[in-house]
Amino acid sequence: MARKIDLEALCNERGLRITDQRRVIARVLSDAEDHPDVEKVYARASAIDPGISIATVYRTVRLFEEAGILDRHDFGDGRSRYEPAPESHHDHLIDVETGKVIEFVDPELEQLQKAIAERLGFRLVDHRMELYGVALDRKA
Amino acid sequence: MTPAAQARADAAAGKPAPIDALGWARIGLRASGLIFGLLLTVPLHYLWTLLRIGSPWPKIFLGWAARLAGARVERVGVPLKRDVFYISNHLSWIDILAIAGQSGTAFVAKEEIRAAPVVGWLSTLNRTVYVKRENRLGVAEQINQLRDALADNWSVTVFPEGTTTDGQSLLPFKTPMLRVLEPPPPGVMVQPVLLDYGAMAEEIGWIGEEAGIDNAKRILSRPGSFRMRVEFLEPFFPQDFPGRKAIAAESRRRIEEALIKSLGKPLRPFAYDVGPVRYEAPEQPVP
Repeated sequence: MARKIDLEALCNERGLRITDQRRVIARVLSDAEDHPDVEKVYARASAIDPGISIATVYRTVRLFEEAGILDRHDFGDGRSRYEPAPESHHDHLIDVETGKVIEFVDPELEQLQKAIAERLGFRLVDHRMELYGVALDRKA
Repeated sequence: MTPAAQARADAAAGKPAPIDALGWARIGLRASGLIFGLLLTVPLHYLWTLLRIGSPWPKIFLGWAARLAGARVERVGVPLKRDVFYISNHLSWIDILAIAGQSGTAFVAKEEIRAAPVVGWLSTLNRTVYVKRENRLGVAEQINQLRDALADNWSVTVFPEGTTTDGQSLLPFKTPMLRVLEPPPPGVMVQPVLLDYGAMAEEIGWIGEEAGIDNAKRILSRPGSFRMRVEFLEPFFPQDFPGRKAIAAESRRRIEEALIKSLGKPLRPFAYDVGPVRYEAPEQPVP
């Protein structure tokens, strides 16, 4: 999906103090296309700045999450995974064998969700849709 | 009943395992290794303490002791190094060697351990925080001790099950030890830890009526080594789960999930009812 969210710029916008270490972590998150967990972010960030500790990564992602510029997902593998909060909505399909995450948008599905909420007497304001699957071409 | 299951049941029933000549040779060899390790690391530890530099020697000794006991420790996940409260399941005294060998953590232990020969002294060297069960008035003092240990040793480990299992169950978590996180000291995170002895868990577990010395002899006379995994699970901020009950519940949830995944089957109810401390301190003469 063609998108690149500049977390560093967003930090400036929201008035978050940006330190060198936070900048490195922001860049790693902005560049990631695989919804990394904290350990992956830590591995990538410490490759750039070996002085970064994993505790700093935990604190920084928490800070970003609270500022609303980072989304946390729980894809059922016991580890929270992160992506820069997207401006446009999308859903996720998770390959349960590899943990790979595929983003998709389906207008019919969006419409259906709205219709279900209305049928139940609600106006839909938000939703999370996660599909879990096994690749069809994978050998059993 | 298979011979292994019979041996397991006998040990849990308090019958000392039979040890042949080869077994005694292994005990002798491993005990010599432990003594050698102590002679080497204890003086160095005192020297480092004297010079007021952080001593890596307890961590090195305990890691060495885990290896001597036969554990080949595989670390999974990244342990937070500082300002962390590890909360772990508990099977054996080997747990302590393995976690400390990986992280250099201090522990919380029952007051009785302090008086145990050799083990008490070594525990004190590793800055163990001793807690009394009866001492209701001393709670504040215990909390201060825990905070000091966190400041000093960077991490503290608690086994909130309060006793050891055979790795096929997870007991309810006792929460008084987690009072130190009410309110959480600034910057401290909680990292749940799963100790996973794999197929060896039932043999290793120190359960039932088995005496400490019998367990040690049984483990140290085993041939060869065994693999164990120390899995550092995803940590969380205690302020997201306010109160010790919520912190205990969240830690237990994460450990349980990881344990079920590792076993590949549901946990079973724990069949053994054992007291939390198996060392009884000798009666002190009343002055």
